[in-house]
Amino acid sequence: MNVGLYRTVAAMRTNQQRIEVISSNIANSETTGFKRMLHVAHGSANWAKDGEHQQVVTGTRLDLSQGVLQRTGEDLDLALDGPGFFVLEGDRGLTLTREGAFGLTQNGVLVSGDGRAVQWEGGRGILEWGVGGIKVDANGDVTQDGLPVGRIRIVDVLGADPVEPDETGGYRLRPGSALVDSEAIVTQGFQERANVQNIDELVELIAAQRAFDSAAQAFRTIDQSYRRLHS
Amino acid sequence: MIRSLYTAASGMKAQQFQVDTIANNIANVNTSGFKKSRLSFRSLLYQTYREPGLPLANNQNDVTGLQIGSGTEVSGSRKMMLQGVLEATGGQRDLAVRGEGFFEVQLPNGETRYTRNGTFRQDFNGRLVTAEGYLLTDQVTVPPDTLGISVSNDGQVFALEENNLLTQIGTIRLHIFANPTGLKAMGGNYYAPTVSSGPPQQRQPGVQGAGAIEQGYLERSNVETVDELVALIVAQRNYEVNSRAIRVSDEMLQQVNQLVR
Repeated sequence: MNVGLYRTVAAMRTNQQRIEVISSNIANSETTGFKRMLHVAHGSANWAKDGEHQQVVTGTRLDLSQGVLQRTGEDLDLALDGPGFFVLEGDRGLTLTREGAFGLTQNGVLVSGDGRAVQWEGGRGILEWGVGGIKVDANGDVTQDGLPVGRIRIVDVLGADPVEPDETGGYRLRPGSALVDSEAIVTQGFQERANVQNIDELVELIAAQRAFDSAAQAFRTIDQSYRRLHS
Repeated sequence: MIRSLYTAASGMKAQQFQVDTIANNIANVNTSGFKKSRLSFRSLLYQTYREPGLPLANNQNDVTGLQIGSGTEVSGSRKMMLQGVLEATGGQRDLAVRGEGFFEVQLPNGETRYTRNGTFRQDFNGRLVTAEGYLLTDQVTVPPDTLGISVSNDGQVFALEENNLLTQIGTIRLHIFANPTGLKAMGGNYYAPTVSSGPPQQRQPGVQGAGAIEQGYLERSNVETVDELVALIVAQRNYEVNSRAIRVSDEMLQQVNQLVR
């Protein structure tokens, strides 16, 4: 049996995955703090011996590069400049996020948009609501009307491909990775846009489509040669 | 079935919401005390096809794993409570809030609403009401034969009578919220408190975080037309790019259909 037929199918499947990844990036180009996924494909090392199996190993990897910071002017909009994450406390463990659109509860607890408490260094800082005067400096130190409240916890992650997306739009630590202190600069009154560039995604989209077309064409060519053989 | 069809469709839907929001902001550019809305988005679930670190054929380990997202959704809208520009109108019953705080008004059914639109009028009893006729909760009744009224920064209302005497006829208080972006917009520029905004806290204007009242001014809407137009263009382009992804997915399916002829 000709292995080429299977290889063309593998190539089509790979490029279909690629387009699914690109579509997700494009759909999230306006999601605050979103990080794009990269689709990676590489050949199997022993492909010559393993001729009848799928030749392409595919995977995805988060591109954690910085997004553009956009000014909002809101006191509780915090963005990170540099590698790092805010830490949210949830029912199912800690969530890492770069979406720093925070709010205050009536009890003065700093929470994310979906109501999960933000972690602080040491004890949780309590802000007085309805008063304003909240200032956050580059290290994440918070003051209200000049009085220190505490420092918001900012962490960085160590390891190869250290985080993965969780169910809440944030990230969770992968096994084997570790949390370390972050050097990121906290900027108050800003939000980080998605690091998706529509031009790059469109070029990728077209490239994947053409690669898919070529594989389909190769499939048809091989198929037709069989037909000639049988007739 | 190709997931990207649905993924890109979710992106188009999100951009549609974005355009709806921008259009409403632009439409209200001349509404006194209007606060613009901003949408926020979040990414939908990621489908994990393969965990990283799994063994592959040939004694290899997969280093990357395979996770593919399924698009985006609108996670919520926020009212941006930034101060609008105060515009001098000279009207004695035009009040603007400089800083935090809302006027409290009473609906005919007894419910209370909060607004920053300080375009007040007098009803037939001399009471201060909004343009829609809703009573100000802090009742101020202007006596007949009054030459004019004067409102101080801290909310005290005086009536100037014919003998040039000033008589205090009421006090207007402001109401602040823990999280004003969490207020529910009720239409007509009125807001209702929610769990997210917290209950209203009555304050004397100018103290304890409440803003000052400025008589003879109205707060303009905080919509910047230029910002909104730029956002509109970006939303339109994003819509196009998403639709392009749908077209590509469709063409791929077409290719599959033509594989065996």
